[in-house]
Amino acid sequence: MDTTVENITSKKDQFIASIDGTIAGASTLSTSHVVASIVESAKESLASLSFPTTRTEAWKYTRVGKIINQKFEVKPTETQVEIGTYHIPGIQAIEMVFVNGFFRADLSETLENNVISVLPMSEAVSKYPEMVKQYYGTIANDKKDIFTALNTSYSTDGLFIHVKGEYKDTAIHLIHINDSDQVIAQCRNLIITEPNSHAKIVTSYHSKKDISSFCNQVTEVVVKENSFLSIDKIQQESEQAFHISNDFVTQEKDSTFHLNTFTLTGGWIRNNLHVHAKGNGTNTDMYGLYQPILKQHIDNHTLMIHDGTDGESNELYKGILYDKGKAVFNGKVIVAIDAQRTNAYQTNANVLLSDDASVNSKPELEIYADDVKCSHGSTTGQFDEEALFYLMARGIKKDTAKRLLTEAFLKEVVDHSDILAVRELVLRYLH
Amino acid sequence: MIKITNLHASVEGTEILKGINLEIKPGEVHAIMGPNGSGKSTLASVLAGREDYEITEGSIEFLDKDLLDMDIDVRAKEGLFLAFQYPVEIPGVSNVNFLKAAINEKRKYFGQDDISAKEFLTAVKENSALVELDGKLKNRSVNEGFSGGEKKRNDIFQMAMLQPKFAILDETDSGLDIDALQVVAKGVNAMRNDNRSFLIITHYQRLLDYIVPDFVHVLYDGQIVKSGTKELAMEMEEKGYDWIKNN
Repeated sequence: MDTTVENITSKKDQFIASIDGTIAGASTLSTSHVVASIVESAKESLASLSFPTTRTEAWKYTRVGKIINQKFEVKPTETQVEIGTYHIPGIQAIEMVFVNGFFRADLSETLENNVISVLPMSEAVSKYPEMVKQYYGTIANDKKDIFTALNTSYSTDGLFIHVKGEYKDTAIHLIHINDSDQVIAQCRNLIITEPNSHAKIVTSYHSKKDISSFCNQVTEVVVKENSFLSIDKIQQESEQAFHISNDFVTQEKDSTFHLNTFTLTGGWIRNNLHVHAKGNGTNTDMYGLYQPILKQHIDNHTLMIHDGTDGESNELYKGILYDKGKAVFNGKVIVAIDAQRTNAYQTNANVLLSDDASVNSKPELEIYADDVKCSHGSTTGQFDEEALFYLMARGIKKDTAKRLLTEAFLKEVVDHSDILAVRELVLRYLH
Repeated sequence: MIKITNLHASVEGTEILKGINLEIKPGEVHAIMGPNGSGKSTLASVLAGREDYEITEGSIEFLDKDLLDMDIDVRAKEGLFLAFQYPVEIPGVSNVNFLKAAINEKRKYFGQDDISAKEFLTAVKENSALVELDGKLKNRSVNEGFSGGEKKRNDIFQMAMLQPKFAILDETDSGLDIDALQVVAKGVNAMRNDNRSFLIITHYQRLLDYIVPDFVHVLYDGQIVKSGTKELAMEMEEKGYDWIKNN
């Protein structure tokens, strides 16, 4: 056997053994009998899959070595957590708090009525086993992705949201905090919106300063006929944080799904967003912004599959890169042969503010239908020096002028959130 | 107001300004005319602080302070204003919001409180009327989608809002039709007073029919080669720049 392969294999075994050993005996989502068969099959996938290398096309620019060379552990915690700093000022929301991947009932507010159910997955498996069985692991694909398989195999808890009616005035805010050094947190969320329902979700990810942590979350979403769901994802973890998101979305007829990814801080981030528009007449918006500084690495991979007719998808990712910041954008759009009259638009725009910053941007279109409108564009440039001079010549300080241009560039993405408090928060944290 | 002494400036090693001497007193309007490449716009850029130029010799005193020592924004705060030859479009930056930011930074610089919303709105209303700027344009992004004439009027609107002590108009007349030119001139004339000075940079005499200068200077090959009163502009128009070149 090739020695490098052997080396990687043993690293993988050690990596998994550390998780397996520290989760042993704990009662977690992955030990629930309701999801037992899914977990068993995920463990088989996990055994057969390898961690990607830069020879793997989808991971060409993003190395996972820094993660798998570490030993992360499952660490339940009962410690005091100062939640106030993670609260979004001015938001009207129900807060569901997870620390190190475990639900904190003491810091959260669950909700169950005829419009909406919001509870931890650990409760949903016993309260709604049939519904969990019907969807859990059916939207996410662990056959191909080792990190999804890892999550399914060892998920500890997560957020369960079942939207039955119009829940418009209040948002649901998932707050996830990594609080212990070398922790791996694997939340597994399930969101189902029934026909004609409406909900807004905010998820925010944080980690304590100066700890190394790994958040490997998976979210499965079913957006049923004529329902509306928006998710604002705010990533605000520390320098030493690793984060992999796998969000899998299925859209039925005439449904609307928006996901805004605001990557404000973080060490190393990979966001995989897969949207499968199965029904006709769907509407999908995927917006994102990122602003890596220092040596931060931010990778957004999106996959939009149009299977229904008359669907529309809009995708806009914008980034400003500082220092040695690195960004990757890969947006794949597949328009199936029967998905006539699809409109799919995709744009990725980047501003490099340092000679050492870099971006790899790759749009991929696969169009099999003949009556479609699709466009994609990718730009990378610098701030307009003339605009900067113009603002300063009116008496505005250089820093303020730069900030005005930063906001101007990213505002289109920020403004796509439906929630004022989120827009304000994001604006406040732009560099 | 401003005193330029033996000013030399280069760009990428090529000397453009070769010893400019010019003094403008409070309330005076000076015009600088000259052929293309004579250094007119370079002079405007150097005064406003554009960083592409290297000052190799000379000095500029602005209100008894060393202008060359000031950052671009500080020059503006101290009362210098540049109306651009080509006002830049800045998508996403609101015209009025940025103006408010500029006014408040200036007030802060002088230890004053922020402008009140009412006072600001009144000024916007009055000054946009002065240059006949469409109400909708004020709320749009800076110059985005504006016509050439609208961009120039927007610059004069900004000048009226900022109330500078010394304004430089860098070929403001270029690309303007006669109607727009008259509106721009009206705005400038309304702002003329005993304490405010102007430097009008132009290629053509036409603008000076509407903004009548006290003094006219001819710039050629980086130096002021002739100075006079407004009659000099007429003479230049009649005889053409070749007259200067051949003398």
